[in-house]
Amino acid sequence: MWFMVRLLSFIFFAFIFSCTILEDSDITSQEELDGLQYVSVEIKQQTSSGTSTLLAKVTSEKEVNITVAGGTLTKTLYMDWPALGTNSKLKLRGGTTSAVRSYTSFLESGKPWTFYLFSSDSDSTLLELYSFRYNSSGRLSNIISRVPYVLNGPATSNDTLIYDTNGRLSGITRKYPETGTTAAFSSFEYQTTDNSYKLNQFVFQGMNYQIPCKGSGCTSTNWGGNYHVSPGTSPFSNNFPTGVMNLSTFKGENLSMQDFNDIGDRCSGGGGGSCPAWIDTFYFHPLMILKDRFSDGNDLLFIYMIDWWIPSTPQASTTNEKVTMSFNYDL
Amino acid sequence: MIFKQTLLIGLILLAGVSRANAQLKLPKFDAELKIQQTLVRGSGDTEGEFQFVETTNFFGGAHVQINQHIAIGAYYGRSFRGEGAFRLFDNNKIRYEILQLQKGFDIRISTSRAKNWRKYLVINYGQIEMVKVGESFRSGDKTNAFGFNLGIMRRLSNNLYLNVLELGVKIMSDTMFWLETNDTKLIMADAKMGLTYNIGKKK
Repeated sequence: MWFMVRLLSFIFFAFIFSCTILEDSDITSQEELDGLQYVSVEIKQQTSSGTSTLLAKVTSEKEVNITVAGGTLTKTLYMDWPALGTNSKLKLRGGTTSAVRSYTSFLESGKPWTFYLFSSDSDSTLLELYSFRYNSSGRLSNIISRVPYVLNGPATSNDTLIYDTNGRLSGITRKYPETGTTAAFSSFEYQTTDNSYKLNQFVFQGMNYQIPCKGSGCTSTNWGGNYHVSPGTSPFSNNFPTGVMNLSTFKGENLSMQDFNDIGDRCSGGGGGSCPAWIDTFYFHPLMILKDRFSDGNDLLFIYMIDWWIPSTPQASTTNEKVTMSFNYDL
Repeated sequence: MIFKQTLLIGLILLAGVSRANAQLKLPKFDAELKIQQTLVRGSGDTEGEFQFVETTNFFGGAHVQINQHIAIGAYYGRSFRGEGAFRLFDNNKIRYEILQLQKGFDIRISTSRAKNWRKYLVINYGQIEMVKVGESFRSGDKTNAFGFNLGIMRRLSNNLYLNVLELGVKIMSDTMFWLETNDTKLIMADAKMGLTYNIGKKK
């Protein structure tokens, strides 16, 4: 009898202790997470004309060994992107509305080296080219854009990233090689109150891009949304914004950009008036799918709003239009 | 590794059974079934870092009673609901479903059998597994944890006790990578309520 009790006890506890909720497909380490490669990106667009869902698919992922100035390229990735038509909320900056393919090359560190968009037809015309360059410490030092790509033509912009002694971005100098002119990003402000050191605002070409503060003691005007762009060069300008949006993202999983137009009566201090809103345009930028490769990727995505978020002339609209990119994995 | 751990715990329990068998004057086993609420707090300072993770678990355990004060046994808890909040880079938070499993062995030290109330201290060591169920993939990790609980139970009958309240903490030896925290030690607070049933009769 006691032998049976002991045996059953042993079997019972052996069963209990062998139980696990971890599955083979679970990501169980940071290395696995960092090395995770999505197989497709779902692009959901919710606009005043309805909701549509498109899918961009990875068609080829190859291990390579190519020596370049910045080190060794170890991976290349090809993707097929669906046609973003003329009425699409998300557009391509180069103006292409038909289906395209993308090519991304990655350094051994996992950071991107180049990102191409080219036509998916037989001639594979190069449409857009973005180059990511690094300093001797491996920090991103330049982003060079050729949009639209012109064969043997100059870059449309060449950005030099400047870091402070704490390793945080303190400025960017943008050169326009075609015209020989420059423009500076300035007044970088980081959130220090909660130790997040997240970029809160910067100024570019007389426009103030900011995350308005919330809560007690906050002097930012609430126009709705979590990002504003407004005229002015002083930090945290409260001028009437030319654009309001909600930007939200979670590492490796999703990115959503909402063109926020339902500002209601906020512009008249709650007095019941209405304000003109903005039907903005979102342009695809490679940082939307590559930002997690950088330690300060979300700050970079914020900074490059200047290229991917184009607020438009005020129009009477209260519709909040949204683009969500969700990353799918084959685990 | 798991097999070795299981074997070791099994041997400890078998030794306990033999010891209890020799006593003959006390209930030999008890089994417990409880509802457990757990909470791990994080600072949520940076984007992606967790602010809290909480789960509600079914918690079961079984003990061999060495004498009226000491019982050794094992426990197993598995969540039937759970939620975690993580900071987004726009200062908002995103919530995910969290799964949790905890298992290990424990020693319960209790006061003498009294008419109504009995206080006890449980010292436990085991493993905690937690999984974040994301939209695209699940992230899971496990760590060992050492902890203790203080509780009070009320006698309902010769065999049945009501665990009115049991409060405790577990110190996790490692953090879980997907919590995205810089903290090196995490503490899980937990509260339990339930029933304990003595199997076997006083002879």
